[in-house]
Order: sequence, then structure tokens, then C-alpha cells
Amino acid sequence: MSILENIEKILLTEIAVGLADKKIDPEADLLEQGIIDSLGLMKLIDFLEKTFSIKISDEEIVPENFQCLNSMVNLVQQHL
Amino acid sequence: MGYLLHQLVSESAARYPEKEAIAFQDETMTYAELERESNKLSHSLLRIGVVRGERVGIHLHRSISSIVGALGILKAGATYVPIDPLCPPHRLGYIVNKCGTRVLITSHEKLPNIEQGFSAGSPLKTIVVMNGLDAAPGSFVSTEIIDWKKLRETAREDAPHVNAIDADLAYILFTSGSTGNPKGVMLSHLNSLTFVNSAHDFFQITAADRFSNICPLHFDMSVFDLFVAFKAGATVVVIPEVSAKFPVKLAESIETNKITVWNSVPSALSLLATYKNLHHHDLSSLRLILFAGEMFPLKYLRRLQEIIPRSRYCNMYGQTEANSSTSYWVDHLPPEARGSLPIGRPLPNFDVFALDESGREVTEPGREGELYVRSLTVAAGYWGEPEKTENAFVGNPLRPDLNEKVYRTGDLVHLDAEGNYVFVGRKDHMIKSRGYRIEIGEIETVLCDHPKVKNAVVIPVPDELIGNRIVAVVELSESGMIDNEDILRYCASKLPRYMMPEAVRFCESLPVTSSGKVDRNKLSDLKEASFSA
Repeated sequence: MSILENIEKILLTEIAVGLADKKIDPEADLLEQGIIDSLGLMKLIDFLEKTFSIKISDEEIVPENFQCLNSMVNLVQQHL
Repeated sequence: MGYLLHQLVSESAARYPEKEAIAFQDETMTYAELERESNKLSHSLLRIGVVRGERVGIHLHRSISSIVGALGILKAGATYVPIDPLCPPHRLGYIVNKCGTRVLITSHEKLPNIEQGFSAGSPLKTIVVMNGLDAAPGSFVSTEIIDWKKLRETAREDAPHVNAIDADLAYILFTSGSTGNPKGVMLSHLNSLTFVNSAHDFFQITAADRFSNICPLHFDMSVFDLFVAFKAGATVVVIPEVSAKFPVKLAESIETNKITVWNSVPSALSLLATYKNLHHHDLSSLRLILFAGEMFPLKYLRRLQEIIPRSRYCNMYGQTEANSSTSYWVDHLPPEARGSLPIGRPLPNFDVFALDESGREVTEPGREGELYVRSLTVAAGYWGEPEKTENAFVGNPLRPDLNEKVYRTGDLVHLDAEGNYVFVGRKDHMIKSRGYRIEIGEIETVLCDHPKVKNAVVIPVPDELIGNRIVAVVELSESGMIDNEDILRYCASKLPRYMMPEAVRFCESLPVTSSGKVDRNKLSDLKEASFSA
């Protein structure tokens, strides 16, 4: 599974169940649409760290890195 | 002295025309500009045909436009009805229909949402789009869509003459209702101003203050942010909705905008406190930190007090129906403090009392009672809900001779040794999550409406950061052909984000009482099992 597919699966099955479309547009703004809220964000960071065995620093937890699927893929790639 | 809420802006515009009234991202608006823009909007609304007392909806993200919108509606003598910008179309349609809303103020991104919530026979006639239209104004069914950017070019700048009085409704705030639909709390100019004046004096607000505004317009804490600031001629710094999710952004907002007065639910402050490098930011501009809506976990409060030691901290308590009613200063949290903070004592111009089960007033520690609020801040009731109004707004049990109404909060309290009220629990099944009040019954009604659900119950799981997490336990009417996603997708079409269950558990049969209702007393076993995943 690609990084993108992996993150999409986390969003669809753990973070935003029933909130996002069944296929998430990689450029769709998930923050603006309220699909990721503050609690969802914390859970998502946890999942990303565990799934990809990475450590996301507090300074990286900014809207630019979590706006859409593609920005999350970029963030994860920087750590791999 | 003005007697209408929007006169606070007019008065400050006369005193401090060039002072910054609102800051939002890279935009700012002075008091003179805010006065002018809201006047223009009110003239436009009057030209559209808005009449005094009419309920005009606002379906906008937090922004300068949403504030101009609220003021423009008030200046036209109408009542503003803020509708959550992320609320599902079904709920939006319900509120519009319930309030007989003919005119709705919004942005062009929201038009599909509105169209989806629009049903035959909807009272909606005109939609005013604040941020302009890319294409020529369209329409759906018999609704006209108007571009405010074009309308404002020819609108008058002076204040319109509308014969409004302080007993007129200023706004209606929709909150969760136990029987499946939200209920609208009706607040008059007098209700609101009585609170605003009291809070302004109590917290010694001045024109030099800079307020944060992180609470949405449909949440009553926004009334403090906006109107207390406007009364003082202070500046309101509107925090964008996306920034509110990121601790780094919250810290940056406080630092760069030199915010002096912060007002939010505790979970926003807890989120800030979880940011490990908070001490890298200069947050010393903060002089007053107010929190309300739920319990503040002491470990986060303690951490904030270590990093921002010079600010004063105040726990505010109140319900939308009566505005904030009590307060408790907590400037120095003793190291041994455990448990929860008291909700404190009544604010000036509030009478608060608790009655035990036999109707006797609670005057000393040891007895528990239900809290009542007596004040001119107490709302006129729920819009179009006479029965619910009668149950919550009752004759003063202590002074039947006065023939007045007091608000019965449903909150159980006791007194501590210092004479502070301490919140104990609820008389009903209302819970708090992220500071929002949620009637469990509303979520259960939606779950049971699902065609394949036989019975459902919602279990609140206490959570340190957000108050309560919501878990739904569902019994299906036919053998397992649906999954949790199906159920949650259905909920998302009916419920706002903050009421969404976080998890769905399936159960072969829910324990019921002899009358067929779910037996909550037998749910404790489920509770254990339900939130392990």
C-alpha cells in the first residue's frame, strides 16, 4: 500500500468515519471542511507515528502539513 | 446610554472612530468602518423587505463578514440566528423552517449546503452572499440570490431609523434538544446587555484590551468576545477556525496579536498547554484568561499558570438560557488541589440560588440542590416550544408574590465551606463535550431513525481533554448487514460534528425496562467493554 493509501485508510476507518467521501480527493481541504477536528488531529498524529515509525515534532503540527492528503504524504516522506 | 446591543458599536465608533475594532488574518476594520458597513447592510436588508422582529439567518465561517452580518441584522431591527457553518443541510433546513427565516446571510461556498437543506415549502426567499458571486446570481426554486458586494455600492451609510426596543429579540441560539431536534434559546437585547454591562465592569475592560474570539457565533460565549469588547472600544482578534485546531497557531495568535483577554472552552486551553515549546512564545500580554462550558483539568491549568503566571484566571459558569451567571477566580492553584474547580459566586446583577428536593434553599455545605438563576439576563424561552419553555422558565419558587420567571438550570450543585457553588452533576441526560452541551436523547433519536436500527443508546465516556467522548451502542433490527461506517454516515447527515459518536458498538440486545425503554442502570457492563478499542 502506498503512503497515500495508508493515510487515506487511517482517515476513513479511524479519524473521520462517515464524515469524508469514500474516496478522498488528495487535494481536498480536510481542515476547512471540518473533517479533521482538533481531537481527530491528535489521533491522526498518533496513527501516523505508529504506522510509519516516525516522530512528528510539535513545530510540524501546523495547518500546512495537515490540510489535505497530499500535504500529509509530504510530511511523512520527509521523515522516511 | 444605549439600550440596544448594536448601539455599543455606534457609541464606540463616535468615541474611537479610527481605532481597530476587528482584526482577522491580514484584514482589519476600524470602528468607523464597522459602523458604516453594518449600517449599509441593514439598509440593504430593509430594502429587501426585512421587518422588525424578523429572524434572519447567518451561515458563515468566523470572519469579519459574520460580525458585520450580525450587526447589520440587529440594526435592521431583526433577530440574528447563527447557524453552524459546518452543520449538515438537514439541520440547517430545520432551523430555517422553524424560525420562518426568509433571509439568510452566507458565503458562496455554502450555497450547495443551503440548496441541499432546502425543502418544498421552505420560508427562505432571499440569500445574501457576503463574499461576492463568481458567476451571475442564480437561484433555486423561488429563492433569490443576491451579491452583497454589488448591493453595498449603492447602500446608505447612515444608521437606519428602526423603532426597536430592548425587549425585542437580539438573537436565537440553537442548542441540542432531548427529543431529536435542536431548540432555539431566545435572547432579547435587554437579556444580553444586562450580561455585557455586568461582565464589562466586573472584569474592568478598557479600550486598550485586545480580545480573542475563538468561539463561534452560534455559541453564546461569542457574545462576551464581541459585545463586551465593543462596549469598551477594545479590539476583537478573530481566530480562524483552522488555527484553533493547532496549539502552535494558538500560541502565535496570542503572541503576534498581543491578546490581553482570552475566553474559550477549557479544551482549547488544554490543547495549548499540551504544546511542549509553549515557553518559547511570549504570552505575557495576557492579563485575563476566562474559561467556561466544562471542567478544566487541573494539570493543564497548572501548566498554563506556570507559563503565563501574571494573568488572572477565572472559571465562568452559565447556560445560554441565562448567560454566564457565576464566576470563580483561580489565580493561584494550590499544589495540593485535586478534583474540579468550584463554579463560584453570582456575578453582579445576578441572583443565583439552589433548592433541594423538598424545595428548601441550600444555604450551607452538605446539602445538594438544583441551581436557579434570577436575573434580567434570563431568556424569554425557546422559540416555538411553549412546553419546553414552561418546564425550564418557571415562577420564582422563593417569591411567588413577585410573579416573575426564573431559569431552572437542571444543574445540581452544593456549597463549599467558602460559600462557593460546586457543580455536582445533571438532573437529566445532558452532557458536555468540547464545551458544547449535548442532549444524549438527540443522538439516540437520530440513531433510532436509521431504518436498520432497532434500539440505540449513547454512553458518554469521561475524557480529560474534551469532557466526554460519545460512544453509541446499537441493536440492529435485522442481522448484521450494516457496519459502523453506515451508521456514522447517517449520523453525519443529521448531526453537527460535535455531536457525532466517536465509535459505534453493536450489541445483540440492549437491556430494556418494563416500558420498553433502554435501561440505563443496566448499562454499566457495556460501558466497560465499549471503549476498549
